[in-house]
Amino acid sequence: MTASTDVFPSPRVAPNLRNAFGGVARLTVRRMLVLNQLWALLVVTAVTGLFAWAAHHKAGFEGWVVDFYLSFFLPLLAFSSASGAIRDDLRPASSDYLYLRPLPRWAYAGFKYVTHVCVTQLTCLAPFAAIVGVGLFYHRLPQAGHVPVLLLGQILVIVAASSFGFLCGMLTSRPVVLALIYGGVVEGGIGQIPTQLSRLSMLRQVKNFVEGLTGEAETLGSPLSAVLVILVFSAATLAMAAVLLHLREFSGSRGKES
Amino acid sequence: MSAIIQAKNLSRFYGNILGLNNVSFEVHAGITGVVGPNGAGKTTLFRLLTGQVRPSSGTIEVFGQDPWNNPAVQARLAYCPESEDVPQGVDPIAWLVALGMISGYSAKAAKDRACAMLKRVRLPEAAWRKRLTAHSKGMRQRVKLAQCLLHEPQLIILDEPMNGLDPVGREDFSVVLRELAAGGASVLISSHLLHDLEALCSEFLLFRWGRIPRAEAEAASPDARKRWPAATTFRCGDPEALARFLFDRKLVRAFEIEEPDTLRVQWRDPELFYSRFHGLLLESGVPIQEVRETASLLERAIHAPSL
Repeated sequence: MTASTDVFPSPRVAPNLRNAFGGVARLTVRRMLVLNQLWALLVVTAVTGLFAWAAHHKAGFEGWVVDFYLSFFLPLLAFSSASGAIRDDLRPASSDYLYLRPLPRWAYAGFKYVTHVCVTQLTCLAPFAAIVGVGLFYHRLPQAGHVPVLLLGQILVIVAASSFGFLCGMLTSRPVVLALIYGGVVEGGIGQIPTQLSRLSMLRQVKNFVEGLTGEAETLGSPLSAVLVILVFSAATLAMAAVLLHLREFSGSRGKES
Repeated sequence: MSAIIQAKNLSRFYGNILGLNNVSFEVHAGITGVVGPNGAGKTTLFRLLTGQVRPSSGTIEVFGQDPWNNPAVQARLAYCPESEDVPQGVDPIAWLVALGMISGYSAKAAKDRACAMLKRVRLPEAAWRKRLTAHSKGMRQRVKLAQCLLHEPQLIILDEPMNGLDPVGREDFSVVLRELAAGGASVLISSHLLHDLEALCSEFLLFRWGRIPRAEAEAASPDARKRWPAATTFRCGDPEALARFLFDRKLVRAFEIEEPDTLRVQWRDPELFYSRFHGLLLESGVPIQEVRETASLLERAIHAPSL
């Protein structure tokens, strides 16, 4: 094993991260905007609009948006989309081609995440518009100035839920089960305890952020600290997902047999 | 030139399942066939070469480097997997452009390369914008080969690329592979279509139960393949008369009349027969319809009963 790399000619195409990002983005966007996905988005938008219409009779419509849409519906949606996307990339149909290209896997995970989050942000504007539309139509959103705050809340939820979806998708073939356990223990359990411990809950942080800016309730921390915590959580979970992807072996059916 | 691939005491196990067991070999430039029955370790070898899995023990080097997760190696090689799985929701041109960009091309260069490669593998233009999942098996194989050629790799690894191809498609494939080899690229190819492989490859790696059996590897070596066949099958009008004629001249070690018109012969010294081939058959006076090698060296090497 003495062969030197100098003996062999250099690659004819030099790897280029900027071009590689373009390639990953193209594949991600195309696969997220296929006809089936657009139909699913239409259904989700209709269902969200229906829920909003059902909720507009009650007082505290804005609270419903935070408690139901931002704290349950949207995280679940973003989580399933992200975990499904990364699971797709672990199948032979993708892995046999993507991870044999001269692109470090951590970079692939990062590029994929950025593109996925951007497309999710855009597509989730539709259900958000449905809710805001119902709220404004029935005068249930008393201050139009709260809409951008809710939108910022939506952006933060998607950022956090997508990175967590990537991590769970890397960890198990049943990411939703893992998410339910996490949701039950951290978000539903610890997050509901009115102490500093509840700051471990990302949905509590989103709630703190929205309510802090709208002045609806007294919160545990400032909106800025909530944003920071959410960004750190997202970066950490994404980094873990990237490390897992880097270490992962793609052994095909043989690996499964063992 | 140095060996492109060097493996030393290479093993790979999947839990209790054997993939490769303590094999050492070198692969040099040219077209090399990787043959063996199902489960022999061919795909495991390809996954090790492409850096998809790590060795359990031993070492493997591609272009003098460890291929595991190594972009420097990946920039020089390409892989066409056996699996028919292709990504959903994309057409060949979009897929190839994206893969080309991931390899380092700009968007425009990637598109130019993608079009050129789809033409080279003779995928009809009408299929360029059709979803990959809607393609036939043969068309998918062509697209899979095209994605291999995108970044002008120096080593192309093809796992059963001829599956699903008709004879014309197989010939097209062979032409492309010969052109690549002539252009300086090396090709490592596995296939169960041994005759195609024998026509294509200059060297062979034989695997069985995760090992490289020495006897069979020698039987398939270039030197052995230059020798005359040790057994010959004749289809003729009177097999008994032909057998008697050859036996009387002490050419035959053993013979077998299988059907009324088929004689299988094992030679004492194949060169003795083949050096006087035409004269002997004319002298026998038996009308001959067909003379062929009973089994190719590669077939015998693969189907040999022992390790």
